[in-house]
Amino acid sequence: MSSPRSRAAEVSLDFNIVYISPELILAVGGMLVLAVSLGYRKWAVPGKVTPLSPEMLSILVLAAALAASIFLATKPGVHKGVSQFGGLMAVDALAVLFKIIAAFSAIVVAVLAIDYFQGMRIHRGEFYALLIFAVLAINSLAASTDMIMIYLSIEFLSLTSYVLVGYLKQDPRSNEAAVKYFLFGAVAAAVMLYGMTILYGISATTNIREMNAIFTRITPAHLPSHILFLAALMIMIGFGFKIAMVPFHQWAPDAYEGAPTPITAFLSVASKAAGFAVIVRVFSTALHPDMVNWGPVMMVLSGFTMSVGNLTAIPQVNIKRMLAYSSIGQAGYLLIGIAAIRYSPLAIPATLLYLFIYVFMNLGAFAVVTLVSTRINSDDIRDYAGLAKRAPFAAASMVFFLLALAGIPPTAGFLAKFYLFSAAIQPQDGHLLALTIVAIANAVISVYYYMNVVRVMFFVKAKDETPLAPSPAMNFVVGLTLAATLVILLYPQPFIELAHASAKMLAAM
Amino acid sequence: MDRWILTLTTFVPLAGAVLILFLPKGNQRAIKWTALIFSLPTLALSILLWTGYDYSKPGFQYVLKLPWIQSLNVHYYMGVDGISIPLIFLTALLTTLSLVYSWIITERPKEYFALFLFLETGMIGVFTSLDFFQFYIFWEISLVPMYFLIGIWGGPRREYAAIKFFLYTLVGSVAMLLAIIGVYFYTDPHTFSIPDAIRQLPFGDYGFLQSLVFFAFFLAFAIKVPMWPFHTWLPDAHVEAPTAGSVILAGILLKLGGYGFIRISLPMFPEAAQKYSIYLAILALISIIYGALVAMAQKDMKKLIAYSSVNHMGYVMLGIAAAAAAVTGKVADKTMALSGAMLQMFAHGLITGALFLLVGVIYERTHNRDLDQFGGLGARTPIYAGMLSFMALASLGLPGLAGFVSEFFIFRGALPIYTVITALAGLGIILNAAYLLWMIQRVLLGPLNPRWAELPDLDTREAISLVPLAALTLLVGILPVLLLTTFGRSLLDVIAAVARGGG
Repeated sequence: MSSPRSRAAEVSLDFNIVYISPELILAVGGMLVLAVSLGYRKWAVPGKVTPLSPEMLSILVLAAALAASIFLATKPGVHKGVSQFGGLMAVDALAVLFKIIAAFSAIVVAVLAIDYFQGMRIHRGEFYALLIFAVLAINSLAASTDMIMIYLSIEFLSLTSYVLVGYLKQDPRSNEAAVKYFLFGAVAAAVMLYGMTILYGISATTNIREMNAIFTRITPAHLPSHILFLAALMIMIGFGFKIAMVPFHQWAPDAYEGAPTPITAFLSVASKAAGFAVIVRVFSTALHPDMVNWGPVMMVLSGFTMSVGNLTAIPQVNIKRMLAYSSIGQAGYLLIGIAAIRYSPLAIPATLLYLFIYVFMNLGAFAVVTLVSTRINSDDIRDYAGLAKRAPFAAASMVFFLLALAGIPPTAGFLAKFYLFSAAIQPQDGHLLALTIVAIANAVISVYYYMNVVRVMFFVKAKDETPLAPSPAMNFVVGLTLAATLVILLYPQPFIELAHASAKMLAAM
Repeated sequence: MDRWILTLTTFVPLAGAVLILFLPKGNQRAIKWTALIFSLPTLALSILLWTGYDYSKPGFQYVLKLPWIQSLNVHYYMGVDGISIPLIFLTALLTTLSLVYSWIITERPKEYFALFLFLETGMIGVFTSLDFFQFYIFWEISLVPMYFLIGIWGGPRREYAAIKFFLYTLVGSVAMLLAIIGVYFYTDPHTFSIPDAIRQLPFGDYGFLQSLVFFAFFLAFAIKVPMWPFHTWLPDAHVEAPTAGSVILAGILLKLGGYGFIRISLPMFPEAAQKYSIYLAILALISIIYGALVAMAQKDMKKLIAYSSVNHMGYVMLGIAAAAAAVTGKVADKTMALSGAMLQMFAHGLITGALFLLVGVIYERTHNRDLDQFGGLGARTPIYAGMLSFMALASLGLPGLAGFVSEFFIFRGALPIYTVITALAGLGIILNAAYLLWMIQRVLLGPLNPRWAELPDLDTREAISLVPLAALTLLVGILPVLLLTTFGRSLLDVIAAVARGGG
């Protein structure tokens, strides 16, 4: 056994500035946004967006981080993985994939926020700085290969999220959402930390690679499997909170409804993706199902998460709440992929591909929601009546996003479900067949409430038919996510390859 | 060019749909003409496909196969044979005629015509796809525009009918999706190619799994056809849909189910098909009798035609069941039954399409479909009366018209195989004649209701959309050989593939 204590002393600054460039850009950029915004108010022209305004500056920072992440994705060494900071973090295909997701969704969120905060009295500089820091937290969470680093990143992400959720200080719902989110988060984090200490107690290391090596070396008879199982459960609770897994999902609808809509989009996409990144990493290495058989528990959790999410979404009248429950349902589908890790080599690629596609379709849906709520100041589904006439492009795009979420062609959402179900059906002994049947039943149920929004937008006439006149930036964001949701179906090969590379890299660990 | 002709046939309407989205909302003429013009190349190409098709050769023609998703071995795979070509032509024809008929649409024309062309791409894509992944995409695409067509331009209960149609069909589709993935993993090398999978006979050694997968496909196709007891979406959807929507629903969308049975269920799962063919035949019989009886009880003309589809598609299923029967030999009878099923699909598309148009014509004028409110229209509107009688007679199987030959083939083929069931199904023909003649009597004969004393006869637009259907009904009735030679060879291959099930 390599001595973890002597290794701890080695934790040195063995990093490569190229490999951590996205994080450097974000850290420095976030500070810069804060600093500039302090002075900016003095020379700002109200209502004008200039390159130095916090909005523009943060979009530039995020775009630079996105470019750096995409650049890393093309570097050959990255697919295999490069360890940084003495094993605290890894720059590998999995991490890079989520860095791209985080930076892209933050750009979309930043653009949406410009419109959303129009005319509101809030501090924009801090808002955008916090958004950048949240992306930084996701970057480090997706790359963490050490339990301590994982814990710190989750807390970092949570703290920035709490503040962002409660950013509408005058709105009591926003305050309530933040408090609820915080209380749930604190409990979940404590339980997770306890699970991590148990793992440390067994393995005497915090590094998940070393944990994996140690658990593999111990003969099964000597492995305290029930204690490992307990630890796995506790850690699952912590991660499950981030992805809004049933029964740790109660914060989500309130937080989603109360938060500023762009932040809701961010939570449901980037934050959830980060949760899955760390689940995939930890549960396919340190807690690989060959060592701790959590598979059946995961199947039950998956089944409940999708069913509760989809069934509760049906009666919702507030579109943000509906999308909150829908995204709980989506997390349920994604958990099929996690449950399949033991049985199918397609499981991890399918989960990653699903997440990647989910980002675009869900962001797109929230972009339309933001657009509507800034124009008519309502999130009530009934107020979407006649949207087909008032904002035809947005309404048609919304149909596309909802069909994608339901997994109906011709959208990339179909490819996502197709790949995921393939992973679930592949094991010939039919371990996951029952869960797959629950999943398709859920897919049919979900169509009912997704199509209800379509019905209201297209079949019901509006009382007031004035056009909504979306801003060009809004239209651009909607168009971009729309194009992505279509193009990934037509030309999915590069994304599938990246997902497979991540899985291969994890298997080699 | 030969390689790309199917791609063109499938996607030209989609290009038209996209173009329409960029036209100004107010310019209705431009929208309508664009829609019509973009439907014509597909019609022309479908005729070209037919005349250029070499029906002496086995297998698929105009094949184009390009890699799409390498890691799953998914291809962009186009190809047609004698089974799909007539259905492609039927789709193109009915779409074009429906567009002509839809000239009266004034409410939200931009969306209407764009959706209609989108729908055409979806339907033709189902018939041209030879890769399961692609097949499924087109299969589902055909759902979405129809949902909107029913929901926006439909009758009073349109919202209910639209979502019911969507959810019902979706249940079948998702079952089929799982089955498709199952087929993939039970072929070696794994493949989504339909011809390859048929050749490999997936689940050949797994009786139970084969039955399971067969039932998943069965559910999807039986809901589409629809067979009793999966038919309950049909009366709602067909009645609430706008006229052109009903034409496409009855004319094409139902055929997707029959096509699925012939293209996939029978040749790919021969053992299961043989094992369950008797149950298929029984369900077909129930559909025939039930559809006819319920049609007879209708007072609403459109509902009557809708239920007549359950009845007529029952004949199609009887022919398919007979072809799948677990009887060795009798190849000639099986081929005859299956040819009848194909003929019936084509004929039903023409006849019921026309009947729905005729219902639409009278509804546009009177805003009434109640059979008891009509009467005596024969004298008032002679051209309309002639057309309605012609189509109703074709539907009840008058010799010399398309309905007769198809039913004759089905009964002649199925009788030696399922003697009792076929004999009982013969009752359906009588009921068939009863409800259609009674409809004619109530609409055309008797005293004229004074409310309709000023009713105008068919106008040019309506005539243009009806005459080709009538002409083809006559042509197929006199020269069924035109169709029989087209799909003869392909159907023999299907019969041979089913025979692999042991018998």
